[in-house]
Amino acid sequence: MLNIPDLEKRWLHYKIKSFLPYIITLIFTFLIIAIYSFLNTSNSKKIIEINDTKNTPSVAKEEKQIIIQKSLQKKPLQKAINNTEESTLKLSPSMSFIETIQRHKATEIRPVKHKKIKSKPIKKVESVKKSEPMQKIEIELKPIQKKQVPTITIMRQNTSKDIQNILHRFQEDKNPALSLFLAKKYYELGDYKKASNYALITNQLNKEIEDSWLIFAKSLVKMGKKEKAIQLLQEYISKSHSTNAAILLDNINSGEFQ
Amino acid sequence: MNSIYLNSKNVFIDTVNSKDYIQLDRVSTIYQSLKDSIKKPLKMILLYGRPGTGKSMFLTKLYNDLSPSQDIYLYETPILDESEFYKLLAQDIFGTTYSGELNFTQFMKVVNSKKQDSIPVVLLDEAQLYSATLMEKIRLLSDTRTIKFVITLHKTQEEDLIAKEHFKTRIWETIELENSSKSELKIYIQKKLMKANCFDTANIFTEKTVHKIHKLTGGNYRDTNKLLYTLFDLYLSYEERNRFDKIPTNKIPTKYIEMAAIQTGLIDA
Repeated sequence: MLNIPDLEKRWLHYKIKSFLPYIITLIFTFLIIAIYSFLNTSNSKKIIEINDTKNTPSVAKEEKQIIIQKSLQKKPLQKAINNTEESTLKLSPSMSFIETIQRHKATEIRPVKHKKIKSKPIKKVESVKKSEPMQKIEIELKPIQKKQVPTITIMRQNTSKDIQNILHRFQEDKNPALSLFLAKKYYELGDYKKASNYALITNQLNKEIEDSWLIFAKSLVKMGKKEKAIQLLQEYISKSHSTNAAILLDNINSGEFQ
Repeated sequence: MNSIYLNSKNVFIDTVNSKDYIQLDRVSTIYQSLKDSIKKPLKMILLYGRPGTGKSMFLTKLYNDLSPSQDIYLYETPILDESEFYKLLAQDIFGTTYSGELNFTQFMKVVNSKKQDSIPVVLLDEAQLYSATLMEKIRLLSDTRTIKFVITLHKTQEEDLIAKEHFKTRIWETIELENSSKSELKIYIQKKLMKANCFDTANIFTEKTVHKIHKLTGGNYRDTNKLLYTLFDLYLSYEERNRFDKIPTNKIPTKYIEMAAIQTGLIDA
Protein backbone atom coordinates (compact mmCIF):
# COMPACT_ATOMS: atom_id res chain seq x y z
CA MET A 1 0.00 0.00 0.00
CA LEU A 2 1.23 3.44 -0.86
CA ASN A 3 2.14 6.05 1.70
CA ILE A 4 -0.57 8.49 0.68
CA PRO A 5 0.23 11.41 3.06
CA ASP A 6 3.87 11.37 2.00
CA LEU A 7 2.91 11.13 -1.64
CA GLU A 8 0.47 14.02 -1.33
CA LYS A 9 3.16 16.07 0.34
CA ARG A 10 5.59 15.30 -2.47
CA TRP A 11 2.93 16.18 -5.03
CA LEU A 12 2.30 19.56 -3.36
CA HIS A 13 6.01 20.23 -3.37
CA TYR A 14 6.15 19.31 -7.04
CA LYS A 15 3.24 21.64 -7.90
CA ILE A 16 4.82 24.55 -6.08
CA LYS A 17 8.10 23.83 -7.84
CA SER A 18 6.45 23.63 -11.25
CA PHE A 19 4.54 26.90 -10.77
CA LEU A 20 7.50 28.77 -9.31
CA PRO A 21 9.05 29.81 -12.66
CA TYR A 22 5.70 31.22 -13.80
CA ILE A 23 5.25 33.12 -10.52
CA ILE A 24 8.79 34.49 -10.71
CA THR A 25 8.28 35.50 -14.35
CA LEU A 26 4.99 37.18 -13.46
CA ILE A 27 6.52 39.10 -10.56
CA PHE A 28 9.52 40.06 -12.68
CA THR A 29 7.27 41.30 -15.50
CA PHE A 30 5.15 43.24 -13.04
CA LEU A 31 8.26 44.83 -11.55
CA ILE A 32 9.56 45.82 -14.97
CA ILE A 33 6.22 47.40 -15.85
CA ALA A 34 6.08 49.19 -12.50
CA ILE A 35 9.62 50.54 -12.84
CA TYR A 36 9.01 51.56 -16.44
CA SER A 37 5.79 53.38 -15.62
CA PHE A 38 7.44 55.05 -12.60
CA LEU A 39 10.32 56.29 -14.73
CA ASN A 40 7.92 57.40 -17.41
CA THR A 41 5.83 59.35 -14.92
CA SER A 42 8.84 61.06 -13.34
CA ASN A 43 10.20 62.02 -16.78
CA SER A 44 6.89 63.53 -17.85
CA LYS A 45 6.75 65.43 -14.55
CA LYS A 46 10.19 66.86 -15.25
CA ILE A 47 9.11 67.89 -18.74
CA ILE A 48 6.02 69.61 -17.33
CA GLU A 49 8.14 71.40 -14.76
CA ILE A 50 10.57 72.57 -17.43
CA ASN A 51 7.70 73.75 -19.60
CA ASP A 52 6.18 75.53 -16.65
CA THR A 53 9.45 77.27 -15.90
CA LYS A 54 9.78 78.35 -19.52
CA ASN A 55 6.21 79.49 -19.82
CA THR A 56 5.91 81.33 -16.55
CA PRO A 57 7.45 84.67 -17.58
CA SER A 58 5.49 85.03 -20.81
CA VAL A 59 2.30 83.86 -19.18
CA ALA A 60 2.75 86.35 -16.42
CA LYS A 61 3.42 89.13 -18.87
CA GLU A 62 0.55 88.32 -21.15
CA GLU A 63 -1.86 87.80 -18.35
CA LYS A 64 -0.90 90.72 -16.24
CA GLN A 65 -2.91 93.35 -18.01
CA ILE A 66 -6.01 91.21 -18.12
CA ILE A 67 -5.60 90.27 -14.52
CA ILE A 68 -5.38 93.88 -13.51
CA GLN A 69 -8.46 94.81 -15.43
CA LYS A 70 -10.44 91.86 -14.18
CA SER A 71 -9.40 92.41 -10.66
CA LEU A 72 -10.43 96.02 -10.90
CA GLN A 73 -13.80 95.11 -12.31
CA LYS A 74 -14.53 92.77 -9.48
CA LYS A 75 -12.71 94.89 -6.92
CA PRO A 76 -10.85 92.10 -5.20
CA LEU A 77 -7.66 94.14 -5.34
CA GLN A 78 -7.31 94.65 -1.63
CA LYS A 79 -7.81 90.99 -1.00
CA ALA A 80 -5.27 90.12 -3.64
CA ILE A 81 -2.75 92.45 -2.09
CA ASN A 82 -3.29 90.75 1.22
CA ASN A 83 -2.64 87.45 -0.40
CA THR A 84 0.72 88.49 -1.78
CA GLU A 85 2.37 87.13 1.32
CA GLU A 86 1.42 83.62 0.38
CA SER A 87 4.44 81.71 -0.67
CA THR A 88 2.86 78.92 -2.74
CA LEU A 89 2.63 79.68 -6.40
CA LYS A 90 0.67 77.72 -8.93
CA LEU A 91 0.44 78.11 -12.65
CA SER A 92 -2.35 76.89 -14.82
CA PRO A 93 -1.78 75.66 -18.40
CA SER A 94 -1.27 78.49 -20.82
CA MET A 95 -3.85 77.45 -23.44
CA SER A 96 -6.73 79.27 -21.86
CA PHE A 97 -4.58 82.30 -21.50
CA ILE A 98 -3.91 82.35 -25.24
CA GLU A 99 -7.63 82.29 -25.88
CA THR A 100 -8.05 85.18 -23.49
CA ILE A 101 -5.27 87.27 -24.96
CA GLN A 102 -6.67 86.73 -28.44
CA ARG A 103 -10.06 87.86 -27.24
CA HIS A 104 -8.42 90.83 -25.62
CA LYS A 105 -6.60 91.74 -28.82
CA ALA A 106 -9.80 91.51 -30.76
CA THR A 107 -11.39 93.87 -28.29
CA GLU A 108 -8.58 96.35 -28.65
CA ILE A 109 -8.66 96.40 -32.42
CA ARG A 110 -12.34 97.17 -32.44
CA PRO A 111 -13.35 100.42 -34.19
CA VAL A 112 -13.62 103.55 -32.15
CA LYS A 113 -17.35 103.64 -32.73
CA HIS A 114 -18.00 101.31 -29.84
CA LYS A 115 -20.10 103.34 -27.53
CA LYS A 116 -19.59 101.66 -24.20
CA ILE A 117 -17.96 104.01 -21.74
CA LYS A 118 -15.42 102.59 -19.39
CA SER A 119 -14.06 105.46 -17.43
CA LYS A 120 -13.50 103.66 -14.19
CA PRO A 121 -10.94 101.14 -15.44
CA ILE A 122 -8.69 103.96 -16.54
CA LYS A 123 -8.68 105.40 -13.09
CA LYS A 124 -8.00 102.07 -11.55
CA VAL A 125 -5.00 101.51 -13.74
CA GLU A 126 -3.55 104.41 -11.86
CA SER A 127 -4.29 102.75 -8.62
CA VAL A 128 -2.44 99.70 -9.83
CA LYS A 129 0.53 101.86 -10.41
CA LYS A 130 0.52 102.68 -6.74
CA SER A 131 0.58 99.02 -5.91
CA GLU A 132 3.69 98.46 -8.01
CA PRO A 133 5.66 96.54 -5.35
CA MET A 134 3.02 93.84 -5.45
CA GLN A 135 4.51 90.64 -6.71
CA LYS A 136 1.50 88.38 -6.90
CA ILE A 137 -2.07 88.92 -7.89
CA GLU A 138 -4.68 86.30 -7.26
CA ILE A 139 -7.81 86.41 -9.32
CA GLU A 140 -10.76 84.26 -10.16
CA LEU A 141 -10.90 83.68 -13.88
CA LYS A 142 -14.12 81.70 -14.04
CA PRO A 143 -15.86 84.09 -16.39
CA ILE A 144 -12.90 84.08 -18.79
CA GLN A 145 -11.78 80.49 -18.81
CA LYS A 146 -13.88 77.69 -20.13
CA LYS A 147 -12.03 75.18 -17.98
CA GLN A 148 -13.06 75.14 -14.39
CA VAL A 149 -10.02 76.52 -12.72
CA PRO A 150 -11.30 78.11 -9.55
CA THR A 151 -8.26 80.15 -8.66
CA ILE A 152 -5.09 80.92 -10.50
CA THR A 153 -2.16 82.37 -8.70
CA ILE A 154 0.20 84.04 -11.09
CA MET A 155 3.58 85.35 -10.24
CA ARG A 156 4.08 88.78 -11.63
CA GLN A 157 7.29 89.41 -13.44
CA ASN A 158 9.51 92.27 -12.86
CA THR A 159 7.97 95.22 -14.75
CA SER A 160 11.15 96.10 -16.62
CA LYS A 161 11.43 92.48 -17.76
CA ASP A 162 7.82 92.61 -18.88
CA ILE A 163 8.48 95.68 -20.92
CA GLN A 164 11.63 94.22 -22.44
CA ASN A 165 9.80 91.11 -23.39
CA ILE A 166 6.92 92.99 -24.99
CA LEU A 167 9.34 95.37 -26.63
CA HIS A 168 11.17 92.44 -28.14
CA ARG A 169 7.92 90.98 -29.36
CA PHE A 170 6.80 94.30 -30.75
CA GLN A 171 10.03 94.58 -32.74
CA GLU A 172 9.32 91.22 -34.28
CA ASP A 173 5.62 91.75 -34.78
CA LYS A 174 4.32 95.27 -35.25
CA ASN A 175 1.17 94.56 -33.37
CA PRO A 176 -0.65 97.73 -32.19
CA ALA A 177 -1.90 95.81 -29.14
CA LEU A 178 1.71 95.39 -28.03
CA SER A 179 2.63 99.03 -28.57
CA LEU A 180 -0.52 100.05 -26.72
CA PHE A 181 0.50 97.76 -23.88
CA LEU A 182 3.90 99.45 -23.80
CA ALA A 183 2.28 102.87 -23.82
CA LYS A 184 0.08 101.94 -20.89
CA LYS A 185 2.98 100.34 -19.05
CA TYR A 186 5.23 103.35 -19.44
CA TYR A 187 2.35 105.53 -18.35
CA GLU A 188 1.94 103.41 -15.23
CA LEU A 189 5.65 103.70 -14.55
CA GLY A 190 5.50 107.45 -14.94
CA ASP A 191 7.63 107.53 -18.07
CA TYR A 192 5.15 109.80 -19.90
CA LYS A 193 7.49 110.59 -22.75
CA LYS A 194 7.81 106.98 -23.73
CA ALA A 195 4.11 106.44 -23.01
CA SER A 196 3.18 109.22 -25.44
CA ASN A 197 5.71 107.90 -27.93
CA TYR A 198 4.22 104.37 -27.96
CA ALA A 199 0.69 105.78 -27.95
CA LEU A 200 1.64 107.68 -31.07
CA ILE A 201 3.17 104.56 -32.65
CA THR A 202 -0.04 102.68 -31.87
CA ASN A 203 -1.95 105.51 -33.45
CA GLN A 204 0.12 105.28 -36.58
CA LEU A 205 -0.48 101.54 -36.81
CA ASN A 206 -4.19 101.83 -36.12
CA LYS A 207 -5.88 105.19 -35.76
CA GLU A 208 -9.08 103.71 -34.45
CA ILE A 209 -7.80 102.48 -31.12
CA GLU A 210 -9.40 104.73 -28.52
CA ASP A 211 -7.01 103.86 -25.72
CA SER A 212 -3.98 105.06 -27.65
CA TRP A 213 -5.58 108.51 -28.03
CA LEU A 214 -6.49 108.59 -24.35
CA ILE A 215 -3.01 107.53 -23.17
CA PHE A 216 -1.40 110.01 -25.54
CA ALA A 217 -3.61 112.81 -24.19
CA LYS A 218 -3.05 111.85 -20.57
CA SER A 219 0.72 111.63 -21.13
CA LEU A 220 0.70 115.11 -22.63
CA VAL A 221 -1.13 116.44 -19.56
CA LYS A 222 1.37 114.73 -17.28
CA MET A 223 4.24 116.29 -19.26
CA GLY A 224 2.60 119.70 -18.74
CA LYS A 225 1.24 119.96 -22.27
CA LYS A 226 -2.34 120.35 -21.15
CA GLU A 227 -3.38 122.66 -24.00
CA LYS A 228 -2.03 120.33 -26.60
CA ALA A 229 -3.85 117.43 -24.93
CA ILE A 230 -7.14 119.35 -24.93
CA GLN A 231 -6.70 120.23 -28.59
CA LEU A 232 -5.92 116.61 -29.45
CA LEU A 233 -8.94 115.31 -27.60
CA GLN A 234 -11.23 117.84 -29.17
CA GLU A 235 -10.06 116.79 -32.60
CA TYR A 236 -10.48 113.14 -31.75
CA ILE A 237 -13.97 113.68 -30.25
CA SER A 238 -15.05 115.53 -33.34
CA LYS A 239 -14.06 112.58 -35.49
CA SER A 240 -14.96 109.64 -33.28
CA HIS A 241 -17.57 111.02 -30.89
CA SER A 242 -15.83 109.04 -28.18
CA THR A 243 -17.53 109.31 -24.82
CA ASN A 244 -14.39 108.24 -22.98
CA ALA A 245 -12.45 110.97 -24.70
CA ALA A 246 -15.18 113.48 -23.78
CA ILE A 247 -15.08 112.43 -20.14
CA LEU A 248 -11.29 112.73 -20.10
CA LEU A 249 -11.53 116.14 -21.72
CA ASP A 250 -13.98 117.26 -19.03
CA ASN A 251 -11.71 115.95 -16.29
CA ILE A 252 -8.74 117.78 -17.76
CA ASN A 253 -10.68 120.98 -18.16
CA SER A 254 -12.08 120.78 -14.63
CA GLY A 255 -8.65 120.01 -13.22
CA GLU A 256 -9.78 116.71 -11.88
CA PHE A 257 -7.10 115.09 -14.01
CA GLN A 258 -3.76 116.66 -13.64
CA MET B 1 -15.18 -9.70 -3.97
CA ASN B 2 -12.14 -8.07 -5.50
CA SER B 3 -12.12 -4.33 -5.96
CA ILE B 4 -12.38 -3.14 -9.55
CA TYR B 5 -9.23 -1.16 -8.90
CA LEU B 6 -7.37 -4.29 -7.87
CA ASN B 7 -8.30 -6.03 -11.11
CA SER B 8 -7.35 -2.93 -13.07
CA LYS B 9 -4.06 -2.72 -11.24
CA ASN B 10 -3.21 -6.31 -12.11
CA VAL B 11 -3.86 -5.65 -15.77
CA PHE B 12 -0.83 -3.39 -15.84
CA ILE B 13 1.65 -5.74 -14.20
CA ASP B 14 4.66 -5.53 -16.51
CA THR B 15 5.08 -9.05 -17.85
CA VAL B 16 5.96 -10.42 -21.25
CA ASN B 17 2.98 -12.58 -21.99
CA SER B 18 1.73 -13.04 -25.53
CA LYS B 19 -1.79 -13.29 -24.17
CA ASP B 20 -1.49 -9.67 -23.06
CA TYR B 21 -0.56 -8.59 -26.56
CA ILE B 22 -2.78 -5.72 -27.65
CA GLN B 23 -3.67 -5.50 -31.29
CA LEU B 24 -3.04 -1.97 -32.53
CA ASP B 25 -3.20 -1.08 -36.21
CA ARG B 26 0.38 0.07 -36.62
CA VAL B 27 1.77 -2.66 -34.38
CA SER B 28 -0.23 -5.30 -36.25
CA THR B 29 1.22 -4.11 -39.55
CA ILE B 30 4.73 -4.35 -38.15
CA TYR B 31 4.03 -7.77 -36.72
CA GLN B 32 2.71 -9.02 -40.05
CA SER B 33 5.78 -7.63 -41.73
CA LEU B 34 7.97 -9.55 -39.28
CA LYS B 35 6.07 -12.75 -39.91
CA ASP B 36 6.50 -12.30 -43.64
CA SER B 37 10.20 -11.69 -43.21
CA ILE B 38 10.59 -15.01 -41.41
CA LYS B 39 9.30 -16.76 -44.48
CA LYS B 40 11.77 -15.00 -46.74
CA PRO B 41 15.27 -16.47 -47.25
CA LEU B 42 16.88 -13.88 -45.05
CA LYS B 43 20.04 -14.45 -43.05
CA MET B 44 19.13 -12.24 -40.15
CA ILE B 45 16.32 -9.97 -38.98
CA LEU B 46 16.98 -7.12 -36.62
CA LEU B 47 14.19 -5.84 -34.42
CA TYR B 48 15.16 -2.70 -32.61
CA GLY B 49 13.64 0.10 -30.58
CA ARG B 50 13.87 1.93 -27.31
CA PRO B 51 13.28 -0.02 -24.10
CA GLY B 52 9.60 -0.55 -23.44
CA THR B 53 8.46 -0.39 -27.05
CA GLY B 54 7.37 -4.06 -27.06
CA LYS B 55 10.31 -5.91 -28.63
CA SER B 56 10.21 -8.77 -26.15
CA MET B 57 6.45 -8.97 -26.53
CA PHE B 58 6.89 -9.17 -30.30
CA LEU B 59 9.36 -12.04 -30.03
CA THR B 60 7.18 -13.90 -27.56
CA LYS B 61 4.10 -13.47 -29.72
CA LEU B 62 6.04 -14.52 -32.81
CA TYR B 63 7.30 -17.58 -31.00
CA ASN B 64 3.81 -18.55 -29.79
CA ASP B 65 2.24 -17.96 -33.17
CA LEU B 66 4.84 -19.79 -35.24
CA SER B 67 5.90 -22.62 -32.93
CA PRO B 68 3.08 -24.96 -33.98
CA SER B 69 4.11 -24.77 -37.63
CA GLN B 70 7.75 -23.67 -37.58
CA ASP B 71 11.00 -24.93 -36.11
CA ILE B 72 11.50 -21.93 -33.84
CA TYR B 73 13.48 -21.34 -30.62
CA LEU B 74 13.20 -18.39 -28.25
CA TYR B 75 16.02 -17.30 -25.93
CA GLU B 76 14.69 -14.48 -23.77
CA THR B 77 17.73 -14.43 -21.50
CA PRO B 78 21.08 -13.94 -23.17
CA ILE B 79 23.54 -16.86 -22.98
CA LEU B 80 26.75 -15.03 -22.38
CA ASP B 81 29.17 -17.97 -22.35
CA GLU B 82 30.10 -18.95 -25.91
CA SER B 83 30.41 -22.68 -25.24
CA GLU B 84 27.10 -22.74 -23.40
CA PHE B 85 25.49 -20.93 -26.30
CA TYR B 86 26.65 -23.55 -28.84
CA LYS B 87 25.76 -26.42 -26.52
CA LEU B 88 22.25 -25.07 -25.96
CA LEU B 89 21.66 -24.59 -29.69
CA ALA B 90 23.05 -28.08 -30.48
CA GLN B 91 20.77 -29.59 -27.87
CA ASP B 92 17.60 -27.64 -28.75
CA ILE B 93 17.89 -27.61 -32.54
CA PHE B 94 19.78 -30.81 -33.32
CA GLY B 95 19.08 -32.86 -30.17
CA THR B 96 22.83 -33.37 -29.53
CA THR B 97 23.96 -33.13 -25.93
CA TYR B 98 27.56 -32.27 -25.05
CA SER B 99 29.03 -32.54 -21.59
CA GLY B 100 32.37 -30.89 -22.31
CA GLU B 101 33.35 -27.64 -24.00
CA LEU B 102 31.94 -26.92 -27.46
CA ASN B 103 33.64 -24.41 -29.71
CA PHE B 104 32.48 -22.81 -32.93
CA THR B 105 34.28 -25.32 -35.22
CA GLN B 106 32.81 -28.29 -33.39
CA PHE B 107 29.35 -26.70 -33.46
CA MET B 108 29.64 -26.10 -37.23
CA LYS B 109 30.44 -29.80 -37.69
CA VAL B 110 27.23 -30.64 -35.81
CA VAL B 111 25.27 -28.18 -37.96
CA ASN B 112 26.62 -29.64 -41.19
CA SER B 113 26.05 -33.25 -40.07
CA LYS B 114 22.39 -32.63 -39.17
CA LYS B 115 20.59 -31.64 -42.29
CA GLN B 116 17.20 -30.04 -41.53
CA ASP B 117 14.16 -29.94 -43.81
CA SER B 118 13.42 -26.38 -42.90
CA ILE B 119 15.76 -23.72 -41.63
CA PRO B 120 15.34 -23.36 -37.86
CA VAL B 121 14.60 -19.84 -36.56
CA VAL B 122 16.41 -18.69 -33.43
CA LEU B 123 14.95 -15.69 -31.58
CA LEU B 124 17.51 -13.88 -29.42
CA ASP B 125 16.19 -11.20 -27.09
CA GLU B 126 18.41 -8.54 -25.58
CA ALA B 127 21.16 -9.15 -28.11
CA GLN B 128 23.00 -6.04 -27.00
CA LEU B 129 24.18 -8.06 -24.02
CA TYR B 130 26.08 -10.56 -26.20
CA SER B 131 29.80 -9.99 -26.58
CA ALA B 132 31.18 -8.66 -29.83
CA THR B 133 33.02 -11.96 -30.41
CA LEU B 134 29.89 -14.01 -29.96
CA MET B 135 27.95 -11.64 -32.20
CA GLU B 136 30.59 -12.18 -34.87
CA LYS B 137 30.13 -15.95 -34.55
CA ILE B 138 26.34 -15.54 -34.80
CA ARG B 139 26.93 -13.54 -37.99
CA LEU B 140 29.10 -16.35 -39.40
CA LEU B 141 26.43 -18.89 -38.46
CA SER B 142 23.74 -16.89 -40.25
CA ASP B 143 26.01 -16.70 -43.32
CA THR B 144 25.87 -20.51 -43.62
CA ARG B 145 22.05 -20.18 -44.01
CA THR B 146 21.63 -23.22 -41.78
CA ILE B 147 20.11 -21.17 -38.91
CA LYS B 148 18.03 -17.98 -39.24
CA PHE B 149 18.39 -15.42 -36.46
CA VAL B 150 15.91 -12.83 -35.31
CA ILE B 151 17.57 -10.57 -32.79
CA THR B 152 16.31 -7.65 -30.77
CA LEU B 153 18.45 -4.66 -29.85
CA HIS B 154 17.86 -1.64 -27.71
CA LYS B 155 18.08 1.46 -29.79
CA THR B 156 20.92 3.41 -28.27
CA GLN B 157 23.82 5.16 -29.89
CA GLU B 158 26.19 2.35 -28.96
CA GLU B 159 23.87 -0.38 -30.10
CA ASP B 160 23.21 1.39 -33.35
CA LEU B 161 26.95 1.21 -33.86
CA ILE B 162 26.89 -2.55 -33.26
CA ALA B 163 24.12 -2.89 -35.77
CA LYS B 164 26.02 -0.86 -38.32
CA GLU B 165 29.40 -2.49 -37.85
CA HIS B 166 28.50 -6.13 -37.40
CA PHE B 167 25.32 -6.58 -39.37
CA LYS B 168 25.44 -3.91 -41.99
CA THR B 169 25.93 -6.28 -44.89
CA ARG B 170 24.13 -9.24 -43.44
CA ILE B 171 20.86 -7.97 -42.09
CA TRP B 172 18.33 -8.07 -44.80
CA GLU B 173 15.46 -6.85 -42.75
CA THR B 174 15.37 -4.28 -39.98
CA ILE B 175 12.21 -3.45 -38.13
CA GLU B 176 11.97 -0.54 -35.75
CA LEU B 177 9.46 -0.42 -32.94
CA GLU B 178 8.42 2.99 -31.68
CA ASN B 179 6.46 4.44 -28.79
CA SER B 180 2.74 4.79 -29.23
CA SER B 181 0.90 7.90 -30.31
CA LYS B 182 -1.81 9.42 -28.10
CA SER B 183 -4.65 7.69 -29.91
CA GLU B 184 -2.77 4.38 -29.90
CA LEU B 185 -2.09 4.74 -26.21
CA LYS B 186 -5.77 5.29 -25.48
CA ILE B 187 -6.71 2.18 -27.47
CA TYR B 188 -3.91 0.25 -25.78
CA ILE B 189 -5.10 1.18 -22.25
CA GLN B 190 -8.79 0.64 -22.95
CA LYS B 191 -8.27 -2.65 -24.81
CA LYS B 192 -6.04 -3.92 -22.04
CA LEU B 193 -8.65 -3.10 -19.39
CA MET B 194 -11.58 -4.41 -21.41
CA LYS B 195 -9.71 -7.62 -22.07
CA ALA B 196 -9.76 -8.10 -18.28
CA ASN B 197 -13.44 -7.09 -18.09
CA CYS B 198 -12.60 -3.81 -16.35
CA PHE B 199 -15.13 -1.81 -18.33
CA ASP B 200 -15.80 0.78 -15.63
CA THR B 201 -12.19 1.79 -15.31
CA ALA B 202 -11.69 1.65 -19.08
CA ASN B 203 -14.36 4.34 -19.45
CA ILE B 204 -12.70 6.80 -17.10
CA PHE B 205 -9.73 7.23 -19.44
CA THR B 206 -10.75 10.39 -21.23
CA GLU B 207 -8.77 12.19 -23.92
CA LYS B 208 -7.43 14.60 -21.32
CA THR B 209 -6.30 11.79 -19.04
CA VAL B 210 -4.58 9.92 -21.86
CA HIS B 211 -2.98 13.16 -23.02
CA LYS B 212 -1.49 13.63 -19.56
CA ILE B 213 -0.31 10.01 -19.41
CA HIS B 214 1.25 10.32 -22.86
CA LYS B 215 2.99 13.50 -21.80
CA LEU B 216 4.52 11.71 -18.84
CA THR B 217 5.42 8.41 -20.52
CA GLY B 218 6.06 9.57 -24.05
CA GLY B 219 3.85 6.73 -25.21
CA ASN B 220 6.23 4.11 -23.88
CA TYR B 221 4.30 0.93 -23.11
CA ARG B 222 6.45 -0.15 -20.18
CA ASP B 223 6.29 3.28 -18.52
CA THR B 224 2.55 3.44 -19.13
CA ASN B 225 2.08 0.05 -17.50
CA LYS B 226 4.14 1.14 -14.51
CA LEU B 227 2.25 4.42 -14.18
CA LEU B 228 -1.19 2.88 -14.42
CA TYR B 229 -0.26 0.08 -12.05
CA THR B 230 0.72 2.71 -9.47
CA LEU B 231 -2.34 4.82 -10.26
CA PHE B 232 -4.70 1.95 -9.43
CA ASP B 233 -2.58 1.15 -6.42
CA LEU B 234 -3.26 4.72 -5.30
CA TYR B 235 -6.99 4.20 -5.79
CA LEU B 236 -6.76 1.04 -3.73
CA SER B 237 -4.94 2.88 -0.98
CA TYR B 238 -7.72 5.47 -0.77
CA GLU B 239 -10.26 2.67 -0.86
CA GLU B 240 -8.58 0.85 1.97
CA ARG B 241 -8.63 4.02 4.05
CA ASN B 242 -12.35 4.36 3.30
CA ARG B 243 -11.69 7.65 1.57
CA PHE B 244 -14.29 7.04 -1.13
CA ASP B 245 -14.86 10.79 -1.39
CA LYS B 246 -11.38 10.97 -2.88
CA ILE B 247 -12.27 8.58 -5.71
CA PRO B 248 -14.28 10.16 -8.51
CA THR B 249 -15.94 7.51 -10.66
CA ASN B 250 -16.23 9.46 -13.90
CA LYS B 251 -12.67 10.70 -14.36
CA ILE B 252 -9.12 10.39 -13.15
CA PRO B 253 -7.88 13.55 -11.41
CA THR B 254 -4.67 14.90 -12.88
CA LYS B 255 -3.37 15.10 -9.34
CA TYR B 256 -3.51 11.29 -9.02
CA ILE B 257 -1.73 10.78 -12.31
CA GLU B 258 1.00 13.14 -11.16
CA MET B 259 1.18 11.43 -7.77
CA ALA B 260 1.56 8.06 -9.53
CA ALA B 261 4.25 9.58 -11.75
CA ILE B 262 6.09 10.85 -8.68
CA GLN B 263 5.88 7.41 -7.11
CA THR B 264 7.19 5.66 -10.24
CA GLY B 265 9.93 8.20 -10.78
CA LEU B 266 8.53 9.65 -14.00
CA ILE B 267 8.31 12.98 -12.21
CA ASP B 268 11.29 14.08 -10.16
CA ALA B 269 9.73 15.72 -7.10
